[in-house]
Order: sequence, then structure tokens, then C-alpha cells
Amino acid sequence: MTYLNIYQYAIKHNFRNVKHVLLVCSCKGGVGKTFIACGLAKALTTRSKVSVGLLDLDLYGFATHKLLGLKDLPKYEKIEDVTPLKINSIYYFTPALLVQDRAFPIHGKYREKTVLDVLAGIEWPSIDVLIVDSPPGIGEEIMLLCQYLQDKVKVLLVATCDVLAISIMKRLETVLDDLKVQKLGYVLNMCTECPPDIERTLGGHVLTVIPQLDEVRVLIQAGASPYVSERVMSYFNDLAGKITSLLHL
Amino acid sequence: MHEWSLAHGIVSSLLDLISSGKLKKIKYVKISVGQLVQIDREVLFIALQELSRETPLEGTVFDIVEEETTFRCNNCGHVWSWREVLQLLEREVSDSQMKTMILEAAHLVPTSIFAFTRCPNCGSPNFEILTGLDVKVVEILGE
Repeated sequence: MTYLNIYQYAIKHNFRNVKHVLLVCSCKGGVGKTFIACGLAKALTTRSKVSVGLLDLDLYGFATHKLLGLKDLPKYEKIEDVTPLKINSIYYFTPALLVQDRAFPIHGKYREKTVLDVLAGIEWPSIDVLIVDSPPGIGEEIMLLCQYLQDKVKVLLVATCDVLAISIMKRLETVLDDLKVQKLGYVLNMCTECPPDIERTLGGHVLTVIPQLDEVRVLIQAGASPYVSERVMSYFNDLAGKITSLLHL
Repeated sequence: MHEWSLAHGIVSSLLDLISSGKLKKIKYVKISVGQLVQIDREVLFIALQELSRETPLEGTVFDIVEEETTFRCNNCGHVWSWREVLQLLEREVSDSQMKTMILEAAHLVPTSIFAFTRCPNCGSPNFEILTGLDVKVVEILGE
């Protein structure tokens, strides 16, 4: 039997109107990928007037809806045209739209299929940037996006500024180099004291350094979005300016 | 996957077989759809016909068959069917909006079913989908 890869054509078709796929990734969990992905989506939309999509591909730990402060998540009642939702000018899809706040206990062997179904199932409108929040590590999400959308994928690496996180991050960087996708640079998050040679270690590609911001924790614990804080958004506005420049938007 | 996205993927990959020289003409294509995906076979058929029009696939016979979806518990070994899942949903989920949401989620991303069901025998979330998870092209006749 001839093996037909139905997915590759469906994915290319669904992403045909997306200019750039900005993959937010890291090797370690808890460094703030989701925080960066959502904040950047907000800043690109509101300050830079760029058309933005946000795709949460963290199947086990999806949390973008929480950080965006969405209290009542809309339900897909009838999937007619399979377009993402539009929330505050951001085109948006998260597994939470499928399973709400339930756990998604999928076996590893079904993970690839699940990612492919999400990619092949949602038709994105004409947008400048689709930000993808990925789970930690180099898994199916990164591999499949790079495999099917290599010409569109650009990577934003997120790390904390400690030596351990940076050294693990450098490993991911070598794989991304071999996958031949463009790296836009690093965002260092929750920084307290950066090592003096960090810029050199990271090849001068640090776009933004975000310090430990107490209001982020306070706002999230209160069930609010951290992006209501002007101070928080000032870092993302700075990052958005650099991203639009790098992507020539 | 949605019927039209699916049809687009199938037609494009079949056309690829012709443009790459593996086949000159495709006469017959058999497509197997798992029950869990809840594909509307009529809509899929119309989409395949529509997308094949004025291409080398015009006139190709598309045969769409349904494959039963079955599950097996990795904890107790119990095997059950999609029909039983539907009966359980009917019995245990009183909110009709929730029922619709579960079915629509499985239509778009079939593995979403892991979030909503457990083994009916022992309650374990650790089960696998034995058959009927995918949409596959299972037979192509051409020259």
C-alpha cells in the first residue's frame, strides 16, 4: 500500500495565510514560555498593530487561557468552518477549547497524532505572526512544526539566567540549528542577577531581559491577567518592537 | 479533522502521486474512516468530488467505508466499542451542550476522547484505541 501523508497538505493549506510562525520554546519547564507567548501576543496586537494568532500546543499543561484572564472559555458547539476564536483581536486556539479544564491524559504514542490533528484541523486566517506556545523540551510539537512549516518557523528561546538553564538551552539550540530554522534570539525571564558573560555566552542574541516581577505572581494568584500591569507590558512592548523589526513587519 | 481539510489533504496527496510519475491515472480510491472521527461521509464525498473537478482525478471513484472504533484498557484488559461510549454519554452526561462539545472535540481531535472517558469496567484513564482512530487511504487502483 502506498503511504499517503494526508496531513502535510492539510497543514500547508491551513497555514498558507500565516506569514511567520513564531515558536516560543525552551528546554526546561517553568521558565515562563506561556507568560512570554501571551505577553508578546498582547503587545504585538495593541502596540505594534500587527495581526496576531496564538496557538497553545502545550497539550498536557495548556495555560494560555488562564494568563489571558479568560474566565468563561467559549465552547466549540458546532465546528463548521474550524477557524480559531478571535479574542481581543488575537486569533486563538487552545486545547482548552476542546476539553475545557480537564486533564488530557494522552499516551505518548498518540501525541504525534494529536499535534497533527490540531495543526491540520484549524484553518488560520491571514495574519502576520502566529505565536506558538510549546511544552518544554524538543518533542513532537517542535519537530512537526519544523518539518511541515520550516519556511515559516522562527524561534524565540526562553530561559532564566542561571548557568544550568542556559547550558541546557544551548543543547536545544544545536538541534534547532540542525533543523535549519531561524532563531530570533533569547528572552531571559525572572532574572535576578545575570552572569556577567551572559551576552557573550548567548552569542549576543539577547532580545529582552525581564526581571523577577512580583506583580506577576500577585495578579495570577488573584485570578487576573498579569498584562494589566503597565510595568509588565513595558517589557513586552520593548520585545514586540524588536520582533517586528526582525521580521520586517 | 474537518471534512474539507481532509478532502484537501487526500486530493493533494493523490495528485502528487500522478505528478511524481508513480501513477498515470487513478481509477479507484478506498478511504477508511474511524467511527471516532465522526466524519460526515456524504460531505467528505462531495468535497472529494468538488476538489477533483478539472484535475487528473476527475472521474476517480471514491469509496468511503467506516471502521469500527474499539478501545482496550491497559489496566484490566477490558475491550469496548464507540457505540458503548455513546451510550454512556447518553446515560451519564445530562447537559446536552456538554455532550455536543465532547463529540465536536473528538471530531476535530479524536484523541480528545481521553479527556472525557474512562474504562467502563475499572475506571482507568489508561486505555488505548485499538481500531478506528484514523482516516486512511487504504486502497488505490490505477495504472
